[in-house]
Amino acid sequence: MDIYVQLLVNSLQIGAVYVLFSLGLTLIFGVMRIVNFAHGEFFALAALLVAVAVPWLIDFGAPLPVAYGLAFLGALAGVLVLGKILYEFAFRRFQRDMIGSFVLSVGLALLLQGLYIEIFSSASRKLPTLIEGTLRILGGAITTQRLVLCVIALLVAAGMYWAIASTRLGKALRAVSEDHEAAMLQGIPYRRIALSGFLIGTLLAAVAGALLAPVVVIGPVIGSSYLIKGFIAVVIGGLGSIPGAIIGSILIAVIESVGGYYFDPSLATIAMFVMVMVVLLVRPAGIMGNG
Amino acid sequence: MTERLALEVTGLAVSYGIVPAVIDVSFAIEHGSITTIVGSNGAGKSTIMKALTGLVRPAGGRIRMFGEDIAGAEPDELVVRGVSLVPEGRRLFTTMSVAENLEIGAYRRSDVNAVARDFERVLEYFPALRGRLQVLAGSLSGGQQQMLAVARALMAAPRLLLLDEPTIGLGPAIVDTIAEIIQTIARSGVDMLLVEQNAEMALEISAQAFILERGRIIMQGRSSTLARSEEVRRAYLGV
Ligand SMILES: Nc1ncnc2c1ncn2[C@@H]1O[C@H](COP(=O)(O)OP(=O)(O)OP(=O)(O)O)[C@@H](O)[C@H]1O
Ligand SMILES: [Mg+2]
Repeated sequence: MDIYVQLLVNSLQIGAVYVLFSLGLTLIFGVMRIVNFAHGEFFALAALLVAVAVPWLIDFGAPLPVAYGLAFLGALAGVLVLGKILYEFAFRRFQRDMIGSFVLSVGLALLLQGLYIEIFSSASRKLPTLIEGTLRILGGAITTQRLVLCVIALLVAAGMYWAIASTRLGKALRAVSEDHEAAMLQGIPYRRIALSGFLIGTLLAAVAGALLAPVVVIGPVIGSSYLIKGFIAVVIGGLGSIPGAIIGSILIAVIESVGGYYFDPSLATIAMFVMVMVVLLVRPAGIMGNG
Repeated sequence: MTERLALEVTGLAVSYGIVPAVIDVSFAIEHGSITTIVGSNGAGKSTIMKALTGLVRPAGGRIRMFGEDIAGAEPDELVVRGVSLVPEGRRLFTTMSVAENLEIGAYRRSDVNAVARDFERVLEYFPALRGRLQVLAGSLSGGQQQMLAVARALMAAPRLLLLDEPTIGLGPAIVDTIAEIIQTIARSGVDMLLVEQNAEMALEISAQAFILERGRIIMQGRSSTLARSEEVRRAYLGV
């Protein structure tokens, strides 16, 4: 019994971050028809900025929670600025161009990783614990800090889901995702909505990275593994589908924690790829994809 | 100002790559009338509609809408200026509800009361949609989908409504319903351009007609006159 609860708890905390990450990836795909292979680098930058800013702020005498709060906001702002610059100079010119955007975003991912190594050095960083303590739930254990971060991630994801379902901008994003020309014919300003979608997606990656910063070891290349998992989640769920990204992320998280426990992490990774194959064979557009 | 004309197209040319799809097309739509363009498969009808709504950039010619040149205008901007298109194949947002489709149709309008009035009005035109507002657009029947496509376009409160083959693939009863609504909308003061492959209904409800063949207008005149012409009857009315 205990072990099942523990595996569930583990899946939940991994999954919460994957959901944020892949929601952004799928949103950007929906509005711009590009798979942003540099999405992981936005995630990484947020984590790196938090990792650099927290010790720095503590040196200035800021209390730990204040240091985390400021670092978190600063990291989001920094990533948004990078996102906006890359959108204007690069992504905007390659929307709806599968091959062009593939080359662009893979190139950018490598370039950014190189820059991060130069700027932040390749050192691994571990931040001081923000919230002490461990909670026991039905025989499973989770550090209080992880639980809080996981709850925040789920709240952000739920808020995002609500906004996409119910707000005017959310409806415009969905309309553009389904048929951008038909959306323009209803008066939706495609360019502006594409930019909004891109920045919201980027912000979600940044939130994921910043939230994870206190609980993982941070290095300049942590973006790639999240990109791969997020990409798998989105492909399984159906590129462009919001519910699909959520379902896909949960599946990946379950495979990772359960597979990692009973077998070993590399087998869990193989299991993910097998699942991609099976899903694509049975439903080529993904679980929630249409067409 | 030539405000007598809702639309004035002069020497329009559109190409896809090097392949010309529309060649030197000129026509005009007067206020308060239904105009139709009849042409067979691949004649260039949809291409003209795309040029009128900013979806394709013409290679030449001039388009004036309500007396203003629309060169370079984005599709969403043209909606604000008063043009709406019911596109070929309906292009509904199938994963959104019927109500959401209608809401999106009014995306650029800020007068909440006027939008609410138009919402009621389109449901009066198409009562079949009223009970299905929360249903996904993709699960409607073909006829209901076409009704929703027209209703969505009306939600933008257009002054000029463009319809690209609104009755294709529909049964005779629904064709009649849609033809009637088109006439009602026209009487309410909306100018209309109707594009059809099947000329029977189009020539019946329109005042003037243009016959398009391989990208060029080859005949034009009053619809009632064209409907009697031997050539048109043989080519487009199946008699
Ligand atoms: N996106 C495109 N790229 C290349 N050629 C195109 C494109 N769209 C249309 N064409 C070509 O342009 C010509 C006119 O097409 P158009 O769609 O305007 O015809 P249509 O009169 O609307 O036909 P239909 O009754 O079948 O809808 C056709 O020869 C078509 O093959
Ligand atoms: Mg056509």
